[in-house]
Amino acid sequence: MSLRARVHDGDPDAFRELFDEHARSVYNHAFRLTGNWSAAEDVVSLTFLEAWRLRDRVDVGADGGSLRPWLLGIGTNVARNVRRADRRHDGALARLPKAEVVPDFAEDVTTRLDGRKRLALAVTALAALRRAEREVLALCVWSGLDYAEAAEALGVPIGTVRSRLSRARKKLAKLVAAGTSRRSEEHREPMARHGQVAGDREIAVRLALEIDR
Amino acid sequence: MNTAPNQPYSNERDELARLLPEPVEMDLPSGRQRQLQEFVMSQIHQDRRAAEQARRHVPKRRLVFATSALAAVAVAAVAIGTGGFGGRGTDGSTGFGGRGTDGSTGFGGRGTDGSTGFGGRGTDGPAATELSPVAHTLELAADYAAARPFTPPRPDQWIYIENRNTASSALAKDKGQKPAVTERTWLRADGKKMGDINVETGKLDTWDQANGYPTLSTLPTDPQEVLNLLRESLAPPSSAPGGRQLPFAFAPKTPDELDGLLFFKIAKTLADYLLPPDVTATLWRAAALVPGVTQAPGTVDVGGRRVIAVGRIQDGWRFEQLLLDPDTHEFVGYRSVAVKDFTFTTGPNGRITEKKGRVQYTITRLAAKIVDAAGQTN
Repeated sequence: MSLRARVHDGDPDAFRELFDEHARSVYNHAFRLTGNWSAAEDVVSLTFLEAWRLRDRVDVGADGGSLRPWLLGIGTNVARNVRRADRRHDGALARLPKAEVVPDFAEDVTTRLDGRKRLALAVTALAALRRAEREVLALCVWSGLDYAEAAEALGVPIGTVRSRLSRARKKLAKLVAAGTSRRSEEHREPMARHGQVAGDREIAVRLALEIDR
Repeated sequence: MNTAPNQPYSNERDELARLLPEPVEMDLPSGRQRQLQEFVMSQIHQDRRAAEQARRHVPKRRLVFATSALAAVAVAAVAIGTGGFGGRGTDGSTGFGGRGTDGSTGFGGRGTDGSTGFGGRGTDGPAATELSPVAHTLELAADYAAARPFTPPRPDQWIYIENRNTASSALAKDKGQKPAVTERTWLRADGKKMGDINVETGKLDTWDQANGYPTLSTLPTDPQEVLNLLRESLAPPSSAPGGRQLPFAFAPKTPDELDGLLFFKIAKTLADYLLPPDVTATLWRAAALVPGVTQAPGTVDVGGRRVIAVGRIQDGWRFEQLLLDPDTHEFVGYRSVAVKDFTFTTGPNGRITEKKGRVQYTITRLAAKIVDAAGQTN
């Protein structure tokens, strides 16, 4: 029985495998969308919980490709809601495992900060993009999905993926040509504010309680 | 998985990759991946156990609602046992979120089974005199809402909502949350698009996402029916085939939790939307039907303003309150106040105690309008 079929049937071991295989991808994708490692951890938990909830929508049909695009699509939606994290419902907080504020190993910290800085370099440029363009960019360029996979992940036609990427490229090329993105980089705080907003866990319930959003 | 290099559009991607810095690729911190995995797995197992149990005792009890309008209103002030979570349809297919890819439709969109139906209430004189104080307050709020002038938006128009969200809990402080954020949101009336001012960039973002407006603006105007729809959309996971509406880690586990979510959802709908007067009035009346709803004595101070507070104790320690203007009974906002000490044991930096009396958060409505374009505020 394929992993797809087992996921669809709600086999817990299949979810364990899924987690082993893709947690890292979801984690990094979430970081690129939220700019915050601790928010990214929350996105990981919530993404796999959502995947469990939505398991019967997994297509067990013919081709049976990787479930990574599906998970990254869920992760994108979760991250989108985490970013809109300004309303609170504290009761749910205790139910998510706590995030470590600072990892234990110094080396780790350095790498993490470096990641944040490198992302910050992209942020000025990314701010010029629409959310939908940023999401497609993160999926296609940074997570390496092809157009069909990105389309599947986001539930949009391939043509839409293509046109969003194309718009993103034009905007970024223009910015780079104008030197905007490079000049402003040096002055920018590496995502600190963003992180504080996004590092929110109560959002889980907001996410859950959104009506039809 | 990569596109073949000779595909015309693969250049697009390479070009983009060149324009942006190479992103760092990280592992989850040591031990952390295992920890998150265990959490996810424990939730999955819990959900399966619940599903198993639900299969075993299927006696599909219907919610025991009062059988007359009068009793239904009286019930508002008293927490009642609901006799389990029955009362849902068997298809359970409403889905919750429309959060992007799943394309589900949210609650509503299909009729209730009608078996609990007691129709319009309050038309027979005596009922009004028997309203509890809290039901009376909410009825006044409904009356006020029902009398607001309203021109339904065209499908291409937008609902603009501006709310001030203040986080004042110990937890929010510990986590370094911004103490206050003004949230500006636009919902296109055709239900297909949303927009907001990105708090990081200060710029308008719009995107395709179901926003629920078409469903909500056409909710039935019978409060009990609305309550039933909401209850269905919040019912605990796996109580019916396909009935997993909330991510189960947050799904209600007791009747009281379900009532708490019901109340919260009604309040959030009032706070996040501008709906037709009859629907808004119905939501106020539905709030009165949630078990455990009470009114705080007198008025309470919210940012220097005296307001009426009506709500319920959530999770045993937070009094979550709808806030109303004491004269007009117009919607002012929503807040949560600790009514006894409560300690989170798994806070990011260790244990965190919310002291009795501490306001946890406040949402105040600053504006709600229909505008012609996203980004417009009047």
